[in-house]
Formats: sequence, structure tokens, C-alpha cells
Amino acid sequence: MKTLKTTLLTFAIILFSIFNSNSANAQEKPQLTDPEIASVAVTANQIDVDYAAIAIKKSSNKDIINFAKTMQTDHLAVIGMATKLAEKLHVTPKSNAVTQSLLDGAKKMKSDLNSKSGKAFNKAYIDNEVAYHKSVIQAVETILIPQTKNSELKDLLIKVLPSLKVHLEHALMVQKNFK
Amino acid sequence: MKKHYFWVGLLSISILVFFSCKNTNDVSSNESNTTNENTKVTPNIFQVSISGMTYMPDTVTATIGDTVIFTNNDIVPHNVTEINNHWASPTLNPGDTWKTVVDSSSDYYCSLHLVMKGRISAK
Ligand SMILES: [Cu+2]
Repeated sequence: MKTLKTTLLTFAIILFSIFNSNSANAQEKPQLTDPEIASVAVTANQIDVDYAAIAIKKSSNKDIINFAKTMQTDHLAVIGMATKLAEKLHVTPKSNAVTQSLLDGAKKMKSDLNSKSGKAFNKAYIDNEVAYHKSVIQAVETILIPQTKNSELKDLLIKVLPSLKVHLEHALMVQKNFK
Repeated sequence: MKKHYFWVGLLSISILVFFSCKNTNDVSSNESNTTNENTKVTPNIFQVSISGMTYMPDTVTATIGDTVIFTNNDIVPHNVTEINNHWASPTLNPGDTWKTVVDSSSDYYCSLHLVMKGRISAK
């Protein structure tokens, strides 16, 4: 009994320290201005449009192509709205460290995708779509929305969230066929 | 002083218009309900709003002959596709509307976003 208690206590301490280190990390989270957030939002959407273009060109699987076409349409729609809003608010998207790291990651991923074909390509594309949407959702929820000052820009990011989540569910569904 | 009368007048007119509109609406909705329950002459119209990547409401219980109107109030295009492809809407861009007359119970989904689903349940 005593051992169980000790084990539980140890677990509790470990969990506590993990959460604590997470909140310490919060200070290391990038701090972004609205023009920088606009740049991150447009870039993140454009990267998924680019991945989709590669998939439409390289894949012959109908589930992959259907998913990729939806990604193109939806993410282009978001870019359109973000651009229009930025113009209206006289906000010029400003490139920053987050934009740059997104672009660096995308460059690697695109060359990886371009080097594959057939089943291997389909699997690499959909695996990346799952991972990419997960990380974008997390960034939108924990960095972009909380840090946005302008309420219209914040509202737009909030409105985009359900589509990102549905894209993730859709990607997970397609991914099951490529295990 | 004159200005004062003008505003009071305008206010009373607005109140009158407001209440008369409200009454007309109440009467017309009462009428259509009675007609449907008793004689089934006027088909019902149901509205489904597509918003936040969902069909709202996601289940409509209707009578055969009723109409369901779908409106895309979302930020991206969607469609309404019967699960066995017996019928399908065209792509509905934001702001677009499409209607279907209920002829049987149907499950439907969005072929652009496979996880979006809804149902028309025919009585
Ligand atoms: Cu849809």
C-alpha cells in the first residue's frame, strides 16, 4: 500500500514538473504583432496549397486527389479573406522568424514529396497533411488567436479553426487506407 | 419644440409598424401550421444552414413533399450529396442556396469534406 502511494506521488510530481516546464516554455513562445500574425496565417495556408498542387500532379489516387483539391479551395479561400481583411485594416503582413521556419520546413517537405511516387508518395503526402494540420491547429489555438490584438483578425482566425479541424479528421480518414 | 413632436411621431409610427409586422408574422405562421396539420395542402419548408463546417440542424424530420433549403453560411464551399449518390447539390459557394423536395429518408454528406454528415428523416 505504501509503495502504491509512493508511486502515485512520484507520478504526480513528474506530471507537475512537466506542466511546470510547459508554462516556463510559454515565455519562449514567439511573441507576434498583428502584421506578423497575418504573415504567418497567409504563409501557413499557402504551404498547404503548394502541397496540394504537388499531390494533384503526382497522385492518381482518387481519395488523395479529392482531399488535395479541397485543401486548395479552402486554403485559397482563407488566404483571400486574410488578404482582404489586411488591406481593409491597412495591415501589411510582415515576415518573421515563424514565417521563415514554416517556409524552411515546407522546402524540405516539398523536396521529400517530389522525390517519391506511387503508394509511397500517397502515404508521405497524407501523413504530412495529418501532422501539418495538427501543428497548425495548435499554433492557431495557442499562439495566433491569443496574441492577436485586432478583433476582426482574431475573429477570422477563430472562424478558420473549424475548417482546420475538419481537414484533420478528413486527413485521418484518408490516412487509414495508406497504413 | 417642433423637432420634439417630429421625433415622438416617428417613434410612435415605428412602434406601430413593429407591432403590426409582428402580428402578421404570428398569424401567417399559425395559419400554415393549421393547414398542414389538418389538410396537408401546404408543404413545409425547412432551412438547413451550413456553417462552421456543420449542417445545422444536422437532422431534419420532414414529410414527403416538404422542401429543405440549404444555405452555405460558411467561409468555404460545400455540397449536399446523398450517401448513395441518388441526388446531389452542385458546389455551394459561400452565400449560395439549394433546395430539394423530400421523397424519402436520406443520409447525406459533403463530398468535399467527407466527415460532414446530415440526415433528412421522412415521416
Ligand atoms: Cu463541405
